[in-house]
Amino acid sequence: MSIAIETQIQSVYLPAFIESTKAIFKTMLGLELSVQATDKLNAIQPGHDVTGIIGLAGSIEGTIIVSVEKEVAFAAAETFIGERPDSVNGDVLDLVGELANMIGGGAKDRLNIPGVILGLPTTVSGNDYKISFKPDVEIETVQFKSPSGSLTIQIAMRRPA
Amino acid sequence: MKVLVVDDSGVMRKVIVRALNAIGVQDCVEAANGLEAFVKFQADQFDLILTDWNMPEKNGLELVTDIRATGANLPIIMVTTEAQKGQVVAAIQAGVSDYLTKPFDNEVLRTKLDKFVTV
Repeated sequence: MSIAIETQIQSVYLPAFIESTKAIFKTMLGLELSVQATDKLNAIQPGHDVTGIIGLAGSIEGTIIVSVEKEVAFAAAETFIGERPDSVNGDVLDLVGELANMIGGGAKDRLNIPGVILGLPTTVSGNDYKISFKPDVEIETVQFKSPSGSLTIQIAMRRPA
Repeated sequence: MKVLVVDDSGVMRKVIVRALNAIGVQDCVEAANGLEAFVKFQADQFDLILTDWNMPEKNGLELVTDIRATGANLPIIMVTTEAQKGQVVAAIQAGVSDYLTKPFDNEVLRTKLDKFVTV
């Protein structure tokens, strides 16, 4: 069972999330992303300055974590709203949450699996924390590089019973 | 032309208003959820509504249902991340005129608006 979900995450889910992330950054922000690395984890320490978290429920149970360096968030804000912030303010948190929402929605659309429900995004600023999951959750990480800095997408999926 | 922009994300409202301004629509009113939007809809005259789907207080689908229940037939475009067939069907049955999937660029927005109103 654990092999099946790992294979499913790597061969089916990961490509959908990678494509969705690249498409959003390209279409809405004009930023080209390159994949730097992928990795498996047991717990998540996002490692970047601003993080958007969104849950999946229904036929897929999991969590998507989108963590960006603040320079990426600032560049995105400048493109989105025409103003470059000088700190991680409400607009920046809102923006990263919205990015997580769009990445989740885009991946969901690409996967075309019926019965998947996206939750409302939550955002966190700072990086001195760790996210832990139950033992039946598989976690894959994708690290991206953009002209403005780095970002990470983490996909945590529950193994089917 | 007067447009009501409804989204619980302040950033997304700014993005949509900027996109509307860029294609010549200057008169935009914002609402942060479906409840606030319905109050503003009842108090004013709009040519078009752009609404998100997932919002607190009253979601986009509920807003569309309530607006159509008044007999109003102005164009309403659902702006959302989710474009799966089941949701599109539900939205159209509720009275949505068209669907705009995020991410979108200004030209896609202009094309959608051109179907319903003269910009």
